[in-house]
Amino acid sequence: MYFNSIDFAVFLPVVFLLYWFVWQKNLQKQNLFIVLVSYIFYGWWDSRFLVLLVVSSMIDFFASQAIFRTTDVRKRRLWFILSIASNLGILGFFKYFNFFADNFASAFTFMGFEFTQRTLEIVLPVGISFYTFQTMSYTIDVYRRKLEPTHDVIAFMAYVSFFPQLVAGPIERAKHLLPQFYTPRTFNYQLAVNGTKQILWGFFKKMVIADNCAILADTFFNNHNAYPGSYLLLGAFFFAFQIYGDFSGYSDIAIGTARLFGFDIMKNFAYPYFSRDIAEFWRRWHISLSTWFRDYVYIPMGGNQGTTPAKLKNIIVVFVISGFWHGANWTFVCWGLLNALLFIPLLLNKSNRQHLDVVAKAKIWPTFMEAMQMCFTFMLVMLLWVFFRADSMHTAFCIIGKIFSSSIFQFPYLPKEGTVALTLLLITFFIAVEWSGREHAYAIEYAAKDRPVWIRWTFYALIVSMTGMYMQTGGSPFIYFQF
Amino acid sequence: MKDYLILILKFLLFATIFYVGILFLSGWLLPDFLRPNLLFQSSGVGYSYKRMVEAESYGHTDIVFLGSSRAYRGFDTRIFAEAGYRTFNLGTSNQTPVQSYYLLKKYIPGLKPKIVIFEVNPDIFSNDGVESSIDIISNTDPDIGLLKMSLEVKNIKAVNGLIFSACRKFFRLSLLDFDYKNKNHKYIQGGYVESLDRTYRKNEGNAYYCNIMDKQLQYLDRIAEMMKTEGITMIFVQAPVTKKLYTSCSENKRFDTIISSKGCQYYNFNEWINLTDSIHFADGQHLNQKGVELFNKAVINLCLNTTH
Repeated sequence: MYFNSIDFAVFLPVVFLLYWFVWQKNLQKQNLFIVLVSYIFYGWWDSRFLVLLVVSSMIDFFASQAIFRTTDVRKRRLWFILSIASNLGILGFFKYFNFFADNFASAFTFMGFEFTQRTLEIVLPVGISFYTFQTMSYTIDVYRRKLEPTHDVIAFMAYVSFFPQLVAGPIERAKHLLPQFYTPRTFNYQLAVNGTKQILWGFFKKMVIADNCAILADTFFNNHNAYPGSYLLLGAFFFAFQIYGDFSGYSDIAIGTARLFGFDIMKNFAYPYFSRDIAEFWRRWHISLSTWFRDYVYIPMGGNQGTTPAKLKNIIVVFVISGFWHGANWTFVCWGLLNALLFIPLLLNKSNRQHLDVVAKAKIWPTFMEAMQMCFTFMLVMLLWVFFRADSMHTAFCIIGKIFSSSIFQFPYLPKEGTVALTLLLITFFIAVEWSGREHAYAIEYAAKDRPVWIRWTFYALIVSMTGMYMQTGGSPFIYFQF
Repeated sequence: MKDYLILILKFLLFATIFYVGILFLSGWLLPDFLRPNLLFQSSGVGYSYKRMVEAESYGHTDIVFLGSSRAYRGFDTRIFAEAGYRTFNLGTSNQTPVQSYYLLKKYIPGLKPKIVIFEVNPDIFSNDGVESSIDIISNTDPDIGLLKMSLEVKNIKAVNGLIFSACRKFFRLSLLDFDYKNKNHKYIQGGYVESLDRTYRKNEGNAYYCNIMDKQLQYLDRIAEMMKTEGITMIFVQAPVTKKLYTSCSENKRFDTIISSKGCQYYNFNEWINLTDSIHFADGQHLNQKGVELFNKAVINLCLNTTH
């Protein structure tokens, strides 16, 4: 079920009312209800993949118990490997089988061997990378003795399948989310109001910003051969806002929805396009995944300790894996690698933690230097998104090649100039709101906070109206569902 | 919890009123490109307003034509009048069965036809009906049927158009241009639109998008059922198009089979009459007057003389 669908518009209020009015008195039943509705939510796409969700949950539930019970180091490690291998096996098969099959075939053919290539018609289960990583973090934490395994199978299944964040994150840690299923939830008025506002802003980001930008990004990128560099640069600009609006919009809806049910889910985006360098960008973009890789890959490998080559290796490995996590294509690997290459100078220079605080804190405008830094960082990120968006390395290099050719100076004669102008106006409004709210969890959290209620309501109603006036009605899926 | 639910209800009420206000003002004040989801087609692409107004007072008919521009530019009421039939052409731009159902419900009681000839083709059955809904919403007064139609197409543009139309009616404001004129077309009494331009635009309308939608087939069944209940003979006709356009659709055979199975007469005139693109067509999918004359005579001979 997509968040931006009529189905969800019916599903959410019904589930909300049943959750608080029917099941509130019994925690166990309330958790069971969450599992049930989460499975309905997930099964709306393809009910066959519910089996995977159950299998994945059960493997980690029982493996973690076994890891915790046994004192035998070998047995602990065996259970741990079994759990991780199962998770990665499922993920690898569904997501990467054809990629490896294709590449092995190409490699063998290149070396002069005859190779009969076999690929399978594998349908990628929605959100498999997200819930697999979430369950893996639980097992790893139990193995590291940072977490006691739960004996409550319903709570655990609810933790894995919790519908707001099941298909595209944020990738929650058991230590943070699981205990919330143990304690009775009471309705919190302020939390629910906040959640509703965050949902509203999330829908605006997705349906207005992302979906409008998508049309233009697709126009330029899908016919990249026909357009000069200036158009493709514009395409990259629109794609940068498409992917940000799409993914952070999803996260806002997910976090807001969780709040309606009394849950606190971790923040996933912190105004990444206001970053002053690439390191700051990565602290602000897809935070739940970045911190996952930091905690479970980067730090265990040694992190920023050790010799310089070791540090470089760690950074490259973690970025490349992170890229590969997004999809079975060399474009994602390259995107990860390029991000690592931009990060490395900051690491070597020891300036990767230079900008920890929000930019221009407690000020209205940034300094000239800050503005330049933000623009430069945005330009870098935007160019790297070309690799993320392209369907092949050849396409990515074609587009980048054109952007860095003399055709960049060709003034764009826009095929949809009305749409371009409107989308630029919407982006301007969006940036202004995000900038004004950059010190808060989400942009409109404290919008017009000291104003009379009618002004605040007018502002929220304006966002509703803009959504109705400018949304795309194609019901386009969220980009990150494919991961 | 109670406070929260009350707050949400109050806000929804406030936001709804605000939205209606914003929409109405936008319709008046903003240029088209700044209101992409409020496409109000004053006077209609194919003289819809004139047609709807005329339909209200046209009186009883023998035949009503339904369908897209291929209907209102394909069935000349004058030719049928010469053959002794009083006809009305209810075709509208890109009309799909969803809109045909609404139009029949609204106008059948007044027009009281004995026969309904519905121009069907794979293209309109592959269409979501948004454009046609907006055209009809823009040119008729809002009613419950129109609301149902807007919700059926599941598109914000249709809903916005309806809200704007309702506001316009409420404030008794008119945006319509009854005397809308197009130098290439002429509105003929009874709903027909004649092509005045004699040049053949061979590069226009040369490809179909063929992906027949279940929703449209369901509405076709509802129309057939309604006609049966009303005791009206239903005839399905596929108007001729250029060979290039016709062969661009891979679903022709399947489409013929589906329509033939509906229990009504069905004539695919692409198979029945032989026309020459440059002589009989205005563009890929519309006949010129010469083509219309041949086509209409074939309809009279084949469909009507067989029926009666």
